[in-house]
Amino acid sequence: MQDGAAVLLPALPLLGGLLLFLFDACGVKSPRTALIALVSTALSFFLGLFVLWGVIASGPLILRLPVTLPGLTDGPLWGVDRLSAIMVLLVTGVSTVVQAYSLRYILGEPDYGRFFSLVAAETSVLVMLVTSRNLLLIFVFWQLMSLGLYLLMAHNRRRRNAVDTAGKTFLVHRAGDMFMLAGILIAHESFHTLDLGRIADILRDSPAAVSQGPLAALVLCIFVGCMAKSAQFPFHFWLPDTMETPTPVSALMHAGIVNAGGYLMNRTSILFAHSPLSMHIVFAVGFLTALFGSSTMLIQSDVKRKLGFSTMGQMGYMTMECGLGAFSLAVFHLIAHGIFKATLFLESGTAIAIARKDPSIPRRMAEEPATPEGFHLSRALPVALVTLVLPLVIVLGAHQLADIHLSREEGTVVFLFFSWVTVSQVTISLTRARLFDSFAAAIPWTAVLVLFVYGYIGAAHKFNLFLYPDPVTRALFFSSGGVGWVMFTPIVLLITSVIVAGWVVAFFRGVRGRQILPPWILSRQEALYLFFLNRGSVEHLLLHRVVEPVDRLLWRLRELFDGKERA
Amino acid sequence: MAALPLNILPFLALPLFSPLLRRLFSSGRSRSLATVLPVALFLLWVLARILSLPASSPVIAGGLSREGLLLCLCLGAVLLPLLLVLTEKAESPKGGRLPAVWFPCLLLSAGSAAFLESGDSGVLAGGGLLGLLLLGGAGFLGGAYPGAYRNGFLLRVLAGSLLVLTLSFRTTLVATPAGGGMLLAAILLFFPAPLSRRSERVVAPEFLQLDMLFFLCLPPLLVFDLLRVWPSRGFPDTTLLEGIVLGWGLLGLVRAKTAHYVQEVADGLSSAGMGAMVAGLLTGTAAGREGGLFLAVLLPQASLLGGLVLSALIARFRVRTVSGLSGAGAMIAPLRLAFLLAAFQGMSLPVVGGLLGEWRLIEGIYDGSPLLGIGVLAGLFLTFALTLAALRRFFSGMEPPLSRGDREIVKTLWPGELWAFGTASFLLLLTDFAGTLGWFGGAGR
Repeated sequence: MQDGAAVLLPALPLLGGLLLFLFDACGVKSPRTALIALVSTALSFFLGLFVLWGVIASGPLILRLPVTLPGLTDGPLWGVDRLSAIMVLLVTGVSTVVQAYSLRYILGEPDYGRFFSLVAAETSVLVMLVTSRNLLLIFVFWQLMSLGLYLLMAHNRRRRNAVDTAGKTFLVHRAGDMFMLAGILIAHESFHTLDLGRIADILRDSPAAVSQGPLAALVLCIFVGCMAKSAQFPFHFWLPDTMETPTPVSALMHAGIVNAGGYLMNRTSILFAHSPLSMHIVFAVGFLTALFGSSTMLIQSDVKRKLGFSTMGQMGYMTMECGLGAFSLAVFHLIAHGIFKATLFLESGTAIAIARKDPSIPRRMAEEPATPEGFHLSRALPVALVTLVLPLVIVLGAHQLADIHLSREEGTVVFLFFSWVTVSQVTISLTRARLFDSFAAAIPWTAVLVLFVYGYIGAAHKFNLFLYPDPVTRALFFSSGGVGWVMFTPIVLLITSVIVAGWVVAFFRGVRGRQILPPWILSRQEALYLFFLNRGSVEHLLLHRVVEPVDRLLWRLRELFDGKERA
Repeated sequence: MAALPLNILPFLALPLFSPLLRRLFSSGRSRSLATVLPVALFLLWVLARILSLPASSPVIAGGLSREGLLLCLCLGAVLLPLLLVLTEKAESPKGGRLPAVWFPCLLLSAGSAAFLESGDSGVLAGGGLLGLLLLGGAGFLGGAYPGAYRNGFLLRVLAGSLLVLTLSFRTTLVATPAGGGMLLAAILLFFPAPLSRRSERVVAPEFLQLDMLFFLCLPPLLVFDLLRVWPSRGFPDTTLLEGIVLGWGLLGLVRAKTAHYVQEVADGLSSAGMGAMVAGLLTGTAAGREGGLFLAVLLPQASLLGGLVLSALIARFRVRTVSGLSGAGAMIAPLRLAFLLAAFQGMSLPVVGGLLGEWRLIEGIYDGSPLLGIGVLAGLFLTFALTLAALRRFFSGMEPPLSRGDREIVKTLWPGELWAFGTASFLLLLTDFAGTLGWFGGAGR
């Protein structure tokens, strides 16, 4: 029964998309036909719930493909486990919402039916991607996903910018894909199989079967593929340009497609866990991306671009979590991020429309700094306590309640860090909005915050146990991502100092209206601003230091080959 | 030389009915149908023989090899759409004088003889004959459009054909180092054909179509055919040779990147594909051979479809430079679709491209030399980037400024063209599907 339902998961959206495409091709252009794709995707979502229930009750489902692919008969190609089932729900859920939103959003545009059939087909591809169990099959759907994204982004072919951006995105993804293909080649050479289950068995039975060098090369190659898809630094530059696409496509992309990198890292987590060096590199890349994405977001004036860089920052966080061995948290994060980012994108158009009509929006009161009053320790201390210490107390309490022992795993400490930074961010925003000004107002807000944090941390912890129930596997992940307390403690202290210092500066500037940074830092602010405005100048460097010299070299080669006159 | 087996005769005879039947009808649809019917029957015949082949066995009872049948299928699949366009009225008196139907059908007939032979002497004799037919084709084209090909190129094709024919009479020679060297020399004479012919870029559609058949579509098949004799008695280590052919393929990409004329883009991409194909075959591994076969069958068809689209644009706009045709296809949706399909073949995308074939090819090359394997990967990326750039350049953005009437004329496709694009696309997708089902080897592995 559940096997049949699992087969329908990708089949339903695909059939809906094909049917709609046929209707469109036959000249049936009624907007109501779009409901075919929407309903089939929604059905797939509900079937996903049923399959998830089955997977929880009776373990993973192994399915057989009706065709035999050359060189790919060693093990099951396709199946649904807990990770797949969760991802299927995310993909089909977001796709259903996006299609429902698009019913009116793109009404009246040319190629209305084509758009829905493309979204449905892309959903089917994503479902197949997350249910594949063989590296080459994953690669097949990985590429089909890029192709679908290209077609969706270039939906309006008459806009050169949209087509160029789609082309650029496709090209960056393709560069990552080549690394991924190289990784798959190394995996085939090393394990003589591409079945992930068998690879896991080999690594479990004899961890030294493959030496660290090839394993690290394999993991890093796969990781580069993930980097390109998840807009990690320095592959990030395609993401902000994608704002040319229709808003529903942006929502689908930011909520579903960019998460593919995080999903793949989870799917191949057993490989990552056996290569500690790669885990550290993953962490470093994630850290850099999170820092860069969040900083660049701050200087954007366009709502959608802001959201784009926010996605980049979040993807960085997600990658950092993988680098620390907290793979399940990365999935938890990407689900939460997917849902809230889709909501933000779909709401952004409405918000802009309202703001255009109502001159009092955005309301200045919430963002306006208070009148400078001079520094008074008696006033500064309570605010510092509220914005820094209170979140720490809440987060520590939540960890204690969820029975998470902080001293046991470094990853947990880092998770505590994330939680603390996030909650502090929320608290300072509330402070700036003057919601902590009176005791009566502060109580309910604090209660909401406490409930929210407890809920989040508890859910994340349960999710960890749900996704990776085997304690040995969880321990392996965390030990592989660890750097040892000797290195870890100074890093934590350093980052804490930076965060506290940052908060102090923000507090004085935002709440008290005073600048306390020394002049030598202030003099570099403009350069820093320009650096982030130019997105780290990666594109500029790529164009002027790589593409143009290579282009010149190619022309020289041609001159050598054909003679100057012909070239 | 061994005598031709009887079961090859239908393959030889069927294509020759095409020009004969064509003479029975004066003009119009019946004439076109009469021209393409024998080739369509040829294709069906080949398909039936392939389908009757047991999945586990590479050879059927009559001595026809799976590889040979697939090469025949590819040649037929290339010819069928081309005949649909060639039967349209020639634009110029020069074009009308070309043996436009006879020559391709002769090629199909001779190609069948070469590909379906399983003995060394038969393969070599067929290869030599094909080479001479190419030379004859170049001679005819050169006669109709003087200066179209340079003498050096014609001499190279002649030398290659003679070398192969000599070897076909003394097959025992191939086992010796001298004979091996001769075969290698012959292959290396044919191999650069797409890139090195340096024709004078004649703009007439008739020339472009036949030139495409002779020197873009046929060389991969011919070189594959000759390499079937190679692996068992090649040089002990072929890494250097693989590097050389891959280097040549890279030069093809350079040519495509720096192209002035659209033909140069097609030549360069075809050359790059041939480099990868030959490198795969030279490895002597099963994976390399399967991947090479996949590419040999796919590359001519993709080249044909892309070439047909570009020649249709050239015929309409009377421009053949890359910059001149920028945005030219933006208003012609069927052309865009056909080009998209052809372009995706070069991107190793699944379903529409030879991902599995390329996977086997890279696997084979990587086994011998990881460095060359990485080189092929880089080449794949560059090919992809170039085809994507071509797609964007010709089929998106600003359309050329034309009057309303001109726009309508430009947008209107002839029925023969529409049938040609449809047939070529269908056959190309069929080939992809067949490859995915393991027709090129590897099923049940």
